[in-house]
Amino acid sequence: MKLQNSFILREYLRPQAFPTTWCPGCGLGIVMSSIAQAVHFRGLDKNNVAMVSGIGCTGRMSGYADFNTLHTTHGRAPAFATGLKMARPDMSVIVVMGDGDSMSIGGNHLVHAMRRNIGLTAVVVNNAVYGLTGGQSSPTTPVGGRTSTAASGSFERPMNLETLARAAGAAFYARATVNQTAALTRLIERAMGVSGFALVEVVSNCHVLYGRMNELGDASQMMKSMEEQTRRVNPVLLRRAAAPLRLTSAGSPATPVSTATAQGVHQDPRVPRGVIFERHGSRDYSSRYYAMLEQKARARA
Amino acid sequence: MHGNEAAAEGAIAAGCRFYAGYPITPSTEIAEILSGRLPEVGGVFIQMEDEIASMAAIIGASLGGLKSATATSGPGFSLMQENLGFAVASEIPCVVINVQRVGPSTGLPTKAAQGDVMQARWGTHGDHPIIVLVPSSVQEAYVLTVRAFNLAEKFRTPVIVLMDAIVAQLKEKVELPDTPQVVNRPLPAESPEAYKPFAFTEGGVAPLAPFGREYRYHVTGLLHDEHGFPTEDAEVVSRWWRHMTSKIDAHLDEILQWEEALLDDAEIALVAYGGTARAAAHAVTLARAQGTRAGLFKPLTIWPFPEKAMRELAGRVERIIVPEMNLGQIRLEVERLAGGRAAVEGVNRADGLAITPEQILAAIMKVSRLAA
Amino acid sequence: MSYDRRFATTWQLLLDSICTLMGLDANREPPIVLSSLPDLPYQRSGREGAAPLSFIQGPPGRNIALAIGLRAAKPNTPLVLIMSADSITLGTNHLIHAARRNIGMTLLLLRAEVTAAAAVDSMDRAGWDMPAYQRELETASRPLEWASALGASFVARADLEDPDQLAHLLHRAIDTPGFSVIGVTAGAQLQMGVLSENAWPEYFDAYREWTKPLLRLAVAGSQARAAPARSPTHVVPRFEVRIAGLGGHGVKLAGTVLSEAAGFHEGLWATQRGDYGSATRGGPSVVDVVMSSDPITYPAADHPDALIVLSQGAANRFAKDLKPGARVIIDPAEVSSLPAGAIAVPITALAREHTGKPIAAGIVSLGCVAALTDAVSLESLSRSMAAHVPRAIAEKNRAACAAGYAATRAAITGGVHV
Repeated sequence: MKLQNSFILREYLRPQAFPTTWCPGCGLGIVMSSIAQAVHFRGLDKNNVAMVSGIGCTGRMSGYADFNTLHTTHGRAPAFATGLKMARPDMSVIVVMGDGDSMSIGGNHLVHAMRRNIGLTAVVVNNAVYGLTGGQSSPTTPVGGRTSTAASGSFERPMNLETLARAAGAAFYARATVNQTAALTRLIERAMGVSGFALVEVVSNCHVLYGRMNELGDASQMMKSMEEQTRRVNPVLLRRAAAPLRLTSAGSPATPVSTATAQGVHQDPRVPRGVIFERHGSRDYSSRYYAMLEQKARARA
Repeated sequence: MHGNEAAAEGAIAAGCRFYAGYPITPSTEIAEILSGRLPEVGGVFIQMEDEIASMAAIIGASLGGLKSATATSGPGFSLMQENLGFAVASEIPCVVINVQRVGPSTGLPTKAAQGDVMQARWGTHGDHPIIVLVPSSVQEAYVLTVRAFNLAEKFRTPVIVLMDAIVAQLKEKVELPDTPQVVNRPLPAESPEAYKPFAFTEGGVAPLAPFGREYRYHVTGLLHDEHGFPTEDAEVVSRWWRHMTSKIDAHLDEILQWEEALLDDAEIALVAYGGTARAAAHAVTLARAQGTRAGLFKPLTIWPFPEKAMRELAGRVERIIVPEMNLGQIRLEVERLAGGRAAVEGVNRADGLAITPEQILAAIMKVSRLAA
Repeated sequence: MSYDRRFATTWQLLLDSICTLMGLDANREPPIVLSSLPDLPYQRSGREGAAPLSFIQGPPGRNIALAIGLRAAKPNTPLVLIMSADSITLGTNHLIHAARRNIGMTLLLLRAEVTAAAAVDSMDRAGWDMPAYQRELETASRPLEWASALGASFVARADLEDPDQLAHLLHRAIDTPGFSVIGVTAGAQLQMGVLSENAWPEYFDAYREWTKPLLRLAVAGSQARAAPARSPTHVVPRFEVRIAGLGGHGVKLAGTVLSEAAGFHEGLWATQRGDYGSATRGGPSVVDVVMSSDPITYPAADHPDALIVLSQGAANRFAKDLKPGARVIIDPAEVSSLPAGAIAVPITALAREHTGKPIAAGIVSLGCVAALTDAVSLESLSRSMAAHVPRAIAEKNRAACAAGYAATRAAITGGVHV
């Protein structure tokens, strides 16, 4: 396995661009190698894979991966990627974003990419903090988490990406942690097979900033606590949760979100990892669009 | 104290009680400091979802009666242009601190530049008046931030403090006034019925009543009449333009600030601003030591540009050198004003490195040989 | 811009509802209405001057962000936003974050969530002629579901043809602290009434609660802030120091301690500028400190009087740019090729010896600087250190600094040049 990994990494990464700007122990390296392996195991031609990234520590990943890579502006990666996918629907387009990049400044593009169900594989690396600019609060900073813009701890309610993705209409949502590499690779691999917008949230560690400010220890200690704070989802409950929250259909009862999530979770405070939901019968916007074009061409003929 | 800290403390001293921003290098320290300082003085700090929202939020807070500011750098400044125009058109006082870095786009995030000079002037669409101040020291970062709030309140306009990463990250000793002079927003003297929130007074502005009192009115980004209601009447619109331009033009003596050093007998004048002015001042000393009569003209207000003073200067000296960390943005302005009376040359770089006194000295020596 | 007649009615209805609300309770503060919609009913009513309500016609979508600032300034004034498709296009990000933060405002979404493909719909209204296939391809925006998913306080849907219900829901929305959204629709086959409620504190209420202790601290600490200014005790011509090493050498801290020693304790003018590497990543780290009894023009040590070199990379980069007569101090353990005339001081070894950590190398370097100039004394360095070094290790750092001083003096007087 080890030997195979190093072979894969050499094949899909750009050693000439190394060393990376990432701190030793950062989860981003793990995410990058998982993406490389996922591409390999899916048997994709790397000439037909694109990686689009935004700004932030995560944004630098596109420089190190040997695909067609595009390092864009802050938060706008899903919008650039939408354009690319519409121009090249045959291409596998991977979008890598951090939590601030995807959910804060890029929230609008993320929501509309999910609504449109455009065929992108979005990998959101969530470390609860802005790393590159030095540790400011992000939309996923937990209540009480200390950051450089919330020295006495954050009081803001963090973004719930899972419920948002459900409400916005994403086709697939999975959560992984950087300490479970095999599962991470498998989930990205699976997400790449989805027709439509597939999102993999990867819980990662910024021990250098967030970890230090909150006394969470070094990289290995933070990864250990990921083990304690997460649990694999129960497939039975998963099926139940698969019915998305419907406020729009006539006659459906009013369902507060808190109850909806509580149904699956019960009293377990641990965050679920694995496939959180998958909408069946989803079809990528770009393939629907080109099907429409063909249909029109046939009608003309 | 470093420049970002001085700007943050200047904002507090000027009475800023609302800050909305988004992290971006190299301006982030301003947000970090204000996140701690504002709650101490009962003010509000909020980290918004992006710079578009930050700019909108400070306009809202200003309408609510709080002095408001945001700070950003190049890419964020680009995002703010839409709502910056709204603040100009609806005459809402607010302060935007832009710590310039090398662009375009993501550029060189941690490196200093002065490439947003023209964007600060013309970044939002349409003609518009604007005031832009440029500090060249930590002391000035403080003083000019206070001044930015004062000018914003007085002329009901957004004021941009255009720092560069040299001044923002520079740490130096400052001597701060105990209580700086602060302009506070006057309440309208007239009754709510008679109040014209956007009165067209030649060379003046109406007091801005904070929302939520008995003064109810309409604020819009559409061009509007004195009551704030949209209009397409060309006559009203042209009166609006007269109002908008005259409120700045009639007060140039107050708005414009510059400093001169050793210009009385100078043959060669340096025109430099921001971090570059420090190297220019040093270059003047070096040139004088070698017997070359050089002097320095340092604008602190860069927009509106000190046109009259520059025309005069061009009549006095033989040559003007404009060192700037861009490809010659202010040089264009100086050339225009010199009108051929003095030869104008630039010393330019936009590679992230600061212009050194030696580079400027070399330019001085080159033109001084030409003159001889 | 021409306008759909139906919206004029909608406006009238909404404003009627708001006015009814105001009529119910004379003590209630009148709401501020924000909208980018171009229709202004009170103009039609012929009232010049005062509007019936304060009204902001902000840029499309941005009204939500604008209202956040307004909410910070006016905690008790109800804010009512009347939005159309701008809530689900330009305003989406503002909407989801205001919902997440639970900022106290009430959004009335007209038509935005009614049509199956509202994004397309908005383009239609902006004058684009959108072909029918677009409507089939695009999926509907569901702003009520988005807001609900992020835990908005109050989410409801009202039927335009039932004004009583609208007024009732509006009343409830305004009275709910936090973020409220009401979809306003006409005749669609959708569930009406309250859709979801979620208990969470309003953002600025929480902010005030959270920052209360900080406010008290500020009152207690306000006297401590003022420090007396000192005028220079001696004449010091411009003296430039550059300390260059790697991240983890404590270079930045050294610059801070040195510039503050000169500025605060020697009464000099001082500047500090640097390019710092991080301890975790290594990488070059350099600080420039300029000290003088006159104000400092150019704040960089391009041609230092004293250069302290803690790494081979720093030696390669900086050893050539010296002022004539400058002193160079190198750490022989880190620098293999020594520049001519350099003084060797085992800086990192002294740091380890006295503090156990290489990060004190910067502090040892300051002792070296003090030995080369009378701009700063060991005494003022030690006082400056007190403000930046934890008390527990202050004594060790003072000793490290003194060791750097002693080693440098010994090297100069002993003539140990390499």
